[in-house]
Amino acid sequence: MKLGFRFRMMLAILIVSFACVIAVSVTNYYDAKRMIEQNYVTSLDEKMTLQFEQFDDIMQDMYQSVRYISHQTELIQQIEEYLEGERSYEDGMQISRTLNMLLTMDQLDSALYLYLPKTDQVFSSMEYYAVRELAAGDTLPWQEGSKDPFTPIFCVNRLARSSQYVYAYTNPVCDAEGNQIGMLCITVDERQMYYELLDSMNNIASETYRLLAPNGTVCSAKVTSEIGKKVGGLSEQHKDRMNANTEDGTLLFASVESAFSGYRLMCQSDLSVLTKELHDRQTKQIIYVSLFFLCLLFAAAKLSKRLSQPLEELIHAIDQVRGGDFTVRAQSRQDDEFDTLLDHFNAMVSRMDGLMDQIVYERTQKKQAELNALQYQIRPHFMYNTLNSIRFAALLQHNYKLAELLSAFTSLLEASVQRKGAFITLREEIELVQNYISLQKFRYLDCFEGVYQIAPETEECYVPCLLLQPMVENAVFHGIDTKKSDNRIEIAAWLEQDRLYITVKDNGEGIPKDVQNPELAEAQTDKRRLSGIGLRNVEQRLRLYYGDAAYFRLSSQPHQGTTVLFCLPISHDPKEYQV
Amino acid sequence: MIKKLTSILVCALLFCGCGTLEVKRDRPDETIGVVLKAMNSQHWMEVRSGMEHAAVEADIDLRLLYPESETAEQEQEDLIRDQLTHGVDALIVAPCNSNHTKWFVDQAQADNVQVVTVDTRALDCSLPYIGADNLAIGEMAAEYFSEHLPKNAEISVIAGPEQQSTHIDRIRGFQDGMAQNGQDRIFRTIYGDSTFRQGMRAAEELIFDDSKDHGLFCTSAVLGLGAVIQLRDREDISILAVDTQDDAIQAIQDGSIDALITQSGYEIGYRAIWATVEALRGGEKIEDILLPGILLTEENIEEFLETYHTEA
Repeated sequence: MKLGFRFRMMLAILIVSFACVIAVSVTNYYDAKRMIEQNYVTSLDEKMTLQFEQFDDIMQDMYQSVRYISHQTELIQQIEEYLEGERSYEDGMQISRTLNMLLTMDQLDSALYLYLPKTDQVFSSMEYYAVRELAAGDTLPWQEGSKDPFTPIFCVNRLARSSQYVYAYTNPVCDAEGNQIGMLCITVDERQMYYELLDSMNNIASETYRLLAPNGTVCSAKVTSEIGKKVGGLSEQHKDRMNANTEDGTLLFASVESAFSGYRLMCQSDLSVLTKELHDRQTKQIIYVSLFFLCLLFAAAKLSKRLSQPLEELIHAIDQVRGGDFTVRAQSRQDDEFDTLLDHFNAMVSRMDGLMDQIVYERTQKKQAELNALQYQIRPHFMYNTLNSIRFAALLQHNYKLAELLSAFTSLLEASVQRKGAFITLREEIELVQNYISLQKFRYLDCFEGVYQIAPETEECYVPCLLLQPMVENAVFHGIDTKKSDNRIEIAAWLEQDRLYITVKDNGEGIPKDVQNPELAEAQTDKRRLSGIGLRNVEQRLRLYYGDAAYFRLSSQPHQGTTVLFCLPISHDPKEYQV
Repeated sequence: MIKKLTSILVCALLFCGCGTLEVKRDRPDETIGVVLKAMNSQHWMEVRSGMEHAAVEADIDLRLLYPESETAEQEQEDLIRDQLTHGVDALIVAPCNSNHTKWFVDQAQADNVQVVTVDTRALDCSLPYIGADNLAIGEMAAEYFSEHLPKNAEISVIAGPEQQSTHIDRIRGFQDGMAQNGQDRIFRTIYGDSTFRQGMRAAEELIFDDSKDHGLFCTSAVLGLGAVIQLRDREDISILAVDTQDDAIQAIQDGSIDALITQSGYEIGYRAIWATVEALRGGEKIEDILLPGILLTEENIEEFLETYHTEA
């Protein structure tokens, strides 16, 4: 399907616009998505930090409690007495009661345990199994203390009613001399901690929170089977106070580090939920833009068709002109640039039409002239030979007048046939005129006279051949009254202001109006003429050779004669004005 | 042309989608460990508040610990030891025993940890001190009693732990001031824990002769408040305490305490943190910062409260 220029242009504009809109829309989408994600991460950071400070506060409380309790004189004394005494069950229970009394933390199922390495016994602040002897080889995960005093130990507490995960802080108990006599441990229950801190946060469907130890293992989570395992996605790169990174573009892992304990609170979030509405909006936008684009495409097609109508009309007209029909004209219905274009086209076609007509006419004339020339080529040789023979015969008979006339006639004939269309000097043209007048004087029994006033400087000027002869011929036909003897034909030539002026004047009866009109004169083929060249021909030749640089004027008054004036540019080159 | 435009569009879309989200917040560059004497009074809470605010402004990690009471020396030792074991860039301590600081100073210096004392000076080591000008406070108290009590008035002192320079300096300043004002003898000085109950106990222990005027200088506000309760029926005893806390200020307003010398716990904590941070970052030596106290009586208490609450 061939698409017009205007439609192609509109289509290109539409496509570029569509591409820009889509690109801007997509850029905006990703910008907005990034901004939402970053704002979400910032908000998440604040929320997690705030929540995690509670965990830190609890850990610090535990830490300080165990240190405070481990220095209590009452407890130390009881331990020393127990170790030195009978170590009865009641004595052990007393220690347990003291532990219970000293334990000021009552939340999160907290408990105190005292390990005495000397007796390999554990005393608890709880009533359940308050005094317990460890089996041989049995060890407690916290009995040696921890390397980092601020990081809680996360372990399974088998000393409680049921095995449970706990967070624990320990501190040695020393006697007055500074010798360690026991290890004190305070614990809080992991599950209780989870419900205190994390459970409310895990209510959000798209977010999953876990508590992680410094080594990356899960300490607390909604799903207890995750405890003790490492979570995929929390890469080694989470080493800062807060880290957040995405995986697969939809999963966000954010973690906040506790300043005191070194634990991390991690959130795994489904970002697609967060940006779903944005994504839906983006999709709708693209659909709307696409539909709009299609509508615009349809409108563009219609509009471009309407707008390109003048162009199509112009193309149609050009096709017709190309086919040779110069009569066609393009119609304009809009007042715009196309209107100007069509007007110029129409003017161009009109001019072409005129030029074609002129070319056809000139070619016809040329062909006719060529034909005539061909025809005349056949006769002149025969005529010249015959006439020369007659002239010689006349000479032989001593009829010099006759011989002279024949010579003049031969010259005149040669000029009219062979030299038509050429440029000759004014002198040669005057000679032709003289020969013609001689013949006509003979014919008209010398009833008129030819007078020549030719300025010498004009003789070598070139003029079209047979320029003056037709005028003299007119003067002979229309200016001579055979009843009179003072008929006069005056021919003058002079130069004035770089122009050549030539006049042919007679004192006859004047040329009739119909003959004065070159067009009408052309229509009448006067068989009396020598060359068949009339006023129309002279006028046309002047226009052809000189254009507007030459003109002739004919003025004729009844009974007063006729004057023909030629005004030509001065030329000394026969080819200067030749066509 | 359509092919080219499509290619450009696809490339643009692809580029737009590139890039994963990665956000992080760095750990602060500096960690300052603080071990105070206790957290059982408004004064220490103000110190902690000032420190925490300064820590946020300076963007540092602050690990603030404290024993159960100002006399829990062993417990404080554990806390100091833990701070150094875990690792800190600087250590700020309000020692429970001003004569027993060398052990951790040596350890800190071995670890290239800067040590600063706050609120209470070290007496066995030369350490930078940031806190109240306790000598001047003592002198201010002596001047007050000299102006408001006759020369033959009996002056007693209830002080906090005698191993703490805070109380030692205040008493020394008080003694010097009394001597300067012609009062060369303090009737009795009772040392003990700086608690409310101790104040009551000490006041009960003191015997006040009815025929004379008495002045009681309490080196901390909680001691003074305890003494006020015990001596509430004795209007002939002029009580002066030290510290700025709401209950003590209220005691001024209701006349229970005759005079109070302020020390801004908040400013002490705030200045201590910033001085340490500047030393850590700038490498400069920390100089002592002695913060002056203001003597408050019922005449100027209202004026003081306007600025006090605004600044807090």
